Order: sequence, then C-alpha cells, then structure tokens
Amino acid sequence: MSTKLMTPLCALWQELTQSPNPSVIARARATPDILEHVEACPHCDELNPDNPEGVAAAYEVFAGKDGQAVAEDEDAFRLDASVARDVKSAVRELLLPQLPTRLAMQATWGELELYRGLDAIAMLAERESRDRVPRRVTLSSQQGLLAGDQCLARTELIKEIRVMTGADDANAASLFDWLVEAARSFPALFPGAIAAPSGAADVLLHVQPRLELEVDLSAQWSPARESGVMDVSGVREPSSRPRASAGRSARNP
Amino acid sequence: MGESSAHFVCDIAKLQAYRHTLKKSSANRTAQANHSHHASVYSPLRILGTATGKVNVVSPVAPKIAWSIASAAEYQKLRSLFFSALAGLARRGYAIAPDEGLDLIHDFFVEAWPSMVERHDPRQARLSTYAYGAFIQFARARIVRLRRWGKQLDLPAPPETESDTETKLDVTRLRRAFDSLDQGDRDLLDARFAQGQSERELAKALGLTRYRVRERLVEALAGLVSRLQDKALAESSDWAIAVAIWRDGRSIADIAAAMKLTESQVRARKRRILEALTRVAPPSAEHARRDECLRNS
Repeated sequence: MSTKLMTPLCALWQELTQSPNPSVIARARATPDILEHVEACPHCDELNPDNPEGVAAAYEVFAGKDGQAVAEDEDAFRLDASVARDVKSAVRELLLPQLPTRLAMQATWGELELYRGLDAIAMLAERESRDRVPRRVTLSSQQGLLAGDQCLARTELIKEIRVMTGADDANAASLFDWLVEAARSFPALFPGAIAAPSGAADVLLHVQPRLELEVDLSAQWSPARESGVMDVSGVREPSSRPRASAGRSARNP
Repeated sequence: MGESSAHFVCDIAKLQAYRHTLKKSSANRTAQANHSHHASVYSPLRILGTATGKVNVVSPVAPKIAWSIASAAEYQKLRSLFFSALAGLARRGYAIAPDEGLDLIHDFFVEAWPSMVERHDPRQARLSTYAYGAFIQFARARIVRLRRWGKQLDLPAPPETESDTETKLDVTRLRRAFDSLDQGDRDLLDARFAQGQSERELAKALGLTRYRVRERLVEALAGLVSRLQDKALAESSDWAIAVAIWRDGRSIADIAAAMKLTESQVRARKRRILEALTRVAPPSAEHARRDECLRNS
C-alpha cells in the first residue's frame, strides 16, 4: 500500500490483518469507524488476514458491541446447534459440494440414507481396528474391510448398510461402492477416520478413537479439514453452548 | 440526510458520514477527503423508508426489494449479528476473507431475507435470532462453494523449476474450442483471463454478485474443456488435467494421485492452461467491442 495514501485507519487495518495481537484488536474495537472505512477504502478492501484467527478477529471488530451480545444469547446458541444437528443440510450443503462433480451427481440416495450408510461403515471400521496398532484398516469395494489377516466380507458390509438405511440389496451395494470411491477423494468422509487412496481402487482408513459418539458434521466436513487431519482445537464450542449431535440421533428415530 | 413528511431516504453511507462529522478531528476529515470516492461492488444498501417503519431496499444487483425492517439501526444491528456469525464460522473451519464476507451479508439480504421473513414464526424465536441461524446456514453453504471455486479458478504461482518436459500446447485447437462457446461465456473468459479483469470488476460490469460471477466462470471453463474432449482435441495430459479440474471438480491432490504426478506438477500444468487462455484472446481492436457487449449484456 502506498504510504502517501495511508491514513491512520488504513494503518490500523493493515496491522489487524497482518498481526492480530490483543492490543491491535483492542485498538480496532475502540475504533467504531473502521468498518465503514474498510468498505470504502479501495486499498483496505483488498487486504485480508491470512489465517482463520485473524479472520475471526476482524469480524469480531466489525461486529462491535451488538455482535458481542450474541455470545450471551442462549437463543442464538440453540439455533446454531440446531444448524449443526441438521444432517440433511450437512450432507447436501457441506459434503456433496466438496466431492468431485461426477460423484455428487451419482448420489441419488436421500441425505439421511447416505449418512446412515457412511456412519455404518465408520462404526465397523472402528470396531475392526480396535485391536490393531496402528489402527488401520483397508476398505475395498471387491473384498470388504481388511484388518491385517482378518476380513469382513463385502456382503457383510452391504448387509450392515441395508439394516441401517432400510435400502434394498442393490441400493445398499451401490451406496457401498460409492462410499469407497468418495473416500478416495474426501479424506474426512467417515467420522472417526482419515481416508487415503490405497492402490487402484481401495481406501486406507486411519481410525482414531472418537472423543464423542455424537458428531458435529459442520466440523467434520469443514473445508479446513480437506486434508483429513483431525484438528479438534478451535473447533469445540465453549462448554456453555449446547452440544451438536448427529449420527446416533439420526440413526435412532 | 433529507427527510420528507411521507418518506425518508436513509442512505447508510450518509448516516455514517454524519457520524463521522460528529467525531472526526479536522486532520482526519482532511485525510478522508483525500480518498477518491470508491464504492465496493456492494455499495451500502440503500434503504428507503416510510414514517411507519416499512423499508424498501435498493441494491446494486437488485433494483428493489421490500423488507420488513424497522429502521436503519435495526439493519446495522443485524449486520453486527452476521459479522459475529462469520467470526464463529471462521473458527470452525469456514473462514472467508472480510471483503467476501461483506459480499456474503449483502447477498443474504438481497436473496434470502424476503423468504426468511415469510417463514419466521415469532412464537418460536425473535426475528434477529432466527435471522442469525438462517444466515449461518446460508453462509456456510456459500463458503464451501466459494472456496471450491476459488481453488478451481486460482492461478498457481510459477514453478521454481520446470521439471516437466511437456511444454507444447496447441493453442489453435484451444482457440477452436473457445470459439465454439456461447458468446456470453467467451466474453466472460476473455474478460477474466485475457484482459485480466478481477471478479469484482466483472461483477460490477455485469450487475451480478461475485458469487455468481465465480460460478459462471467455473461453468464456462467446464464447457470449454468439455468441448475439447468432445472434439477429440484433448490429446495431451494437460487437457486431461483441465477436464479433471473444471468439469469433474477434482482436487489437485486427487488428480496428482490418479495421474501419478506430484501436486506441483499438476499446479504447473493448470497454470500453463490458464495462461494459454490469454493467447486465444481476439485482437486488441475487439476488446473494446467486447467490453461494450459485456456492459450491455
């Protein structure tokens, strides 16, 4: 940014985007005109923080006192949690748009059906990996679930999907094949596991013990987890907030 | 801020400027005056209100929308709530840059607010709380798509070393496929990649949201690579990569694994393809005509 055009507000915004430490944030919060300035200034408009914490700090500055009140609003917490609990919208709005187009178009099952199917596979992977160190299993369209010398046959996996989703054999089988292919493109597909392509068509699942049985799909499928790394720090809501839930509650009506 | 007995025009920019005059020192006022007037693509929404409190909204991308908001102060409060929502989303892995966040809030008011107000049941929750939840749902879905399209459209940095031996691209064939696109798609790709107009500039020229511009760019690229394949022009692996990125929507990591390349190699080829698009642009005399077409389309 040209020094000639830099005003105190420009300098403050630049500091906030580049090094959002507590003193800079406090100064920005004490500057109520900063939002209007950023909207109007052609230079500041193009300066953006390059990390999530900086982005969050910028928005909190923009929110001002009215926005801070949201933190105390129980109604807002409830609605926030209900959005997180919404399995259908998570599948439709978060999962499918992040998959390759062809796979997303092939997903002709209902959102709940799709989620119950993938949760069924996730739970089986967790069970079969329990005695293994490290906890790795291979998911194969042809063979099923391979854990060392043990093998849970493809038919068993399809049967589990059929039970959990209520689908017929053909739909359960096609859903299973679809899940294996989707996991090759989307490491965070299965709750409690990180997927990686293995060979021409299989998937290696690194299973991690779930901290909770209930899954926040908003966090599970967030774009920040595209590498599949299990990063729970910064994802948890403060303990006073209601817990989001999915998976079990979706499965058990 | 003018006011008549029947209507008041509450231009938020004027309201904010009024606040500025109450607080600013003369030195700051001078500094402010030195800024050339700049309105972002989404200039502050103009609110036309009546004394009874009903407001109409005028936006750069939607001529007129009727809202039910009591006042400009209520609008400001809602915006604050939505900024707070964006802060929370950023911490949960749905970070979006502030300039795009401002656009997102604008788009919510223009596209989602009217139907949201219709659905709102005051017995269930306050309007502001309901709006907060609706905005989170709106924003989250949009952020996922924006990030995906952003990756499809970004120009990778030049590779430090050219380790890939395949350097020849058939620009003639690319031009043939390009010319077979619809006029609107050609103009859009030309403006973005040959002329180097930013998404924001395109949004302003076309009267679209930046979200919609990005969506159209990805669709246009998908159409282009589909034509390359249909016409059996995709002989090199470069075009296979183009198809994978823009038609199939696959990630760089996914493509690298499938084609047994490194991610750097895939990015380098993506860059080469996007640069090739700049070479299929028409002669410079055509640019002015196409600019005119863009403005009039």
